[in-house]
Amino acid sequence: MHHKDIHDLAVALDRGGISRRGWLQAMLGSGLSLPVIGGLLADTGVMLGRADAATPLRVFNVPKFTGFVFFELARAGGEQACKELGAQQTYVGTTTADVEGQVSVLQNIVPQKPDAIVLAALDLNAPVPTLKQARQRGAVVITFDSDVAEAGRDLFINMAPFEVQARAMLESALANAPEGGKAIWIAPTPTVANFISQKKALDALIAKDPKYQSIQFIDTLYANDDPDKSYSVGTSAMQAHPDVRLFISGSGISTPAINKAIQDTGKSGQVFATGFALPSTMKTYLDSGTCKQYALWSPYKFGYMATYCGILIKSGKVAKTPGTEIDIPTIGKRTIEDTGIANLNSMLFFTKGHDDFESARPMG
Amino acid sequence: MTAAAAPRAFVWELTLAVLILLAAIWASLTSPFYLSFDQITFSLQQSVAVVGLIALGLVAVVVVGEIDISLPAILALGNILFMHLAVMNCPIWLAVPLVLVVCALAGLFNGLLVVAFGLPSLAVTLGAMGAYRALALLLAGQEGFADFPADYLWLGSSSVADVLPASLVLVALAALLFGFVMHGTVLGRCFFACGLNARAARLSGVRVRLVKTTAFTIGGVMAGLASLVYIGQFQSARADNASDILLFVVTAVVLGGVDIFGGRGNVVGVLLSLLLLGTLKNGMGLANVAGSVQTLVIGTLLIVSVLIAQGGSWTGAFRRLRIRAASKP
Repeated sequence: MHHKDIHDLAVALDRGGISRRGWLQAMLGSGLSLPVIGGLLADTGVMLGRADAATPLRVFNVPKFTGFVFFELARAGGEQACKELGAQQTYVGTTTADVEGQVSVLQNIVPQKPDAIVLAALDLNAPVPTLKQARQRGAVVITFDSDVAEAGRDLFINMAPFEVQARAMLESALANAPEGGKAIWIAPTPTVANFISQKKALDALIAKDPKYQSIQFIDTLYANDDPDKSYSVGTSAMQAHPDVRLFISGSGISTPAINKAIQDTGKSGQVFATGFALPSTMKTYLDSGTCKQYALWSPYKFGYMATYCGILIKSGKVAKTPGTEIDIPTIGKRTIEDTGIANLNSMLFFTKGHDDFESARPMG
Repeated sequence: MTAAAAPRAFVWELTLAVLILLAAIWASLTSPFYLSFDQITFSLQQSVAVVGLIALGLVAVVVVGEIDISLPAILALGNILFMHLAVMNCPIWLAVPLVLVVCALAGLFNGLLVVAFGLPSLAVTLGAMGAYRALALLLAGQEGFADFPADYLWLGSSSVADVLPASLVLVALAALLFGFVMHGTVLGRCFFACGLNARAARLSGVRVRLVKTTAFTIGGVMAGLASLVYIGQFQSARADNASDILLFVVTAVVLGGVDIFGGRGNVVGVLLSLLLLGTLKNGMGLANVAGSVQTLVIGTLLIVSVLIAQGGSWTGAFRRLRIRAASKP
C-alpha cells in the first residue's frame, strides 16, 4: 500500500467528503479493494470457524408449554447444569399444549445447529421426524417428563419407574382415604405417553399388592392439563358418580383444580383428590384438610438431570449405551436402562407442615 | 363489484409482496440461519402446506358468503381414516379417494344444513367441528398411531427432484387450479355472485343453493387433501390433530384480501399471505421468539387485515364514531 494513496484518501475524507471518482482512484490505486473484500470474507470465515470451536455448547430446552411453574423450575435446573458445565441454554416453547406448535418450535431449532435438545414431548410420535433430523445433524436429544418413540431421542429421563410413581400415588390415596373406595383417573388426553404408562402401573400394582386392593378405578376422564376443564370435569364427575371417593391424577394442574372443586361443592372430607401436584398450588388444600397428602418429584432436579446428561453425552464424557452409570451431582448415580431410560427416582410426599420442596419427606 | 375494488385489490397484493420481502430481510438480519434454500423451503412446507390447502378450501366457502370452521376437524377425521386404512393394509391409490370422499361428504353435510335450513354457517360448522372431532376420537380409540407405510407418507415428507417439497408443489398446483376456476370460469363468477348478493344472483339464474353446497364440499375435499400432507409431515395420527390451526387459516384467508363477508377475494392474495405468514413464523421461530408473542403477532395481523379490508380507514372510523356520538341524545 502506498503512503501517497493513503494520504490522498485521508485528505479527501478530511474535506468532509470524497467524490465517487476519488474513492475509486484511492481504492484501486492502493490496491485496497481486493484485500479488503478478501479479508472481510476470510475474517468472516475465521470468525465462524472460531465460533464453532470456542462458543459453549448450545442446549435448547423445550417445555410442553411455557409459563407453567413446573417447567419454569425445570428450566432453572437446566440453567444450573449449563452453568456448571459451561453450556448455554435457550428456553423456547408454545403457550398452550399444542402438538403442531411444539413440532414447529423444534423445526426452527434444527437449522440453529443445536448441540442438545432437552424436550418434554406433547406427543409420542409427531416430533419424531424432526428430532431424527436434529440427531442426524449431530444434536443429542434428551426427553424428560414425557417421552417420544425411541427413534427420536438418545435418552429419556423418567421421573421414576412407573411402579414407583404408582406406589407414590396409591400411598397418597390411602393417606387421604385409609379405607380406599371408588376412584377416578384424570389424564390430560388419551395419548400422552406417561399417563398411559402410569395408569397401567396403577392397575398392575392394585392387582398385585393386597395393600391397595381397596382402591377400585371406575372411570378415566380427560382434562387437557387445564385448570378450568379439570374443575368442571371434577364437578360433573362427582354428580355422575355420587359414590366416588378418590380422584387420582398424574397432572400437576388437574389435582389442585379438582381439590378446589371438592372444596367449593362442600365435599371436603368425603371426596379426596390426590396424585401429583406442585407445592405452590396445593398449600391451601393441605392447610384446610381437603387434601392430606400428595406426591411429586423435584422439577428443578428433573431439568437439571436431563440437561446435565445431555451435555455429558454430547461432549463424549459418558456413553449413552445401556448399563452406563452417570454420576449426577446432588442426585447420585443413575444407570441407563435397556430402552435408553434413566430414572430421576426421588419421590417426595407433601403433607400439612411439610408442604414445600425443602420440607417434603422422601418416600421410603 | 364496484369499480374501486379492483385497483385496491391490486395494491393489496403489491403490499403483501413488499411485506414478504421485508419479513425475509428482517428474518435474515435476526438470524444467521434464515438464508438457506433448504431451510426456507422446509420451514415453509411445515408451516404453510397443511394450512395452505385448508385455506384454499376455506376461500371457496368464504367467497360464497359462508364460513366453515370445522375444516381442521375434518382433517383430523381424515387422519384417523388414513390410520384405519393403513392398519387394514389398504393400498394408497384406494385410500386417498376413500378419504377424500368421506371428507367431501363431511363438507357437503355442512353445506346441506346451511342451505336447506337457512342456518348461519358459523353456528352449523361450530357444531360440526365438535361432532367431527368427537367422531375422530371415537374412531381413533385411546392411543396415537405412527406406523404408516411409506407410500402414505410420501406427499408430506418427500421432495420433488430432491429440491422442492412435494407438499409445496401440491399447494402451488392447487392454487393454480383454484385461481383458474375462481377467476376464469363461469362457476367462479357464480361463486363471487352468490357472495356479493345472493338474491340478485338467484334472480339472474344462478343456482345459489347448489353453488354454496359445492363450496362447502370443496372445503371438505381440501381438508382431506391436507390430511394426507399432515400424516406425511408428522408421520402420525391422533384425533386431536390440527386443533390449533384455525387462527392461522382464517388469518391467511382474510390477510389475503378475501372479504370475510363474501363476494370479494383473490387466490393470488391468499398465496401471498400464506408466504408472508410462513416467513414471519420462520423468522420468529429462528429468533426464538416466545410462543405467546408469535400468537399475538398472528392475531394482530388478522384484526388489522379485517380492519383494512372493511375499508376501515382512520378517517372513516372517526366519522362513524362522530356520527354515533352525535346521534346520542
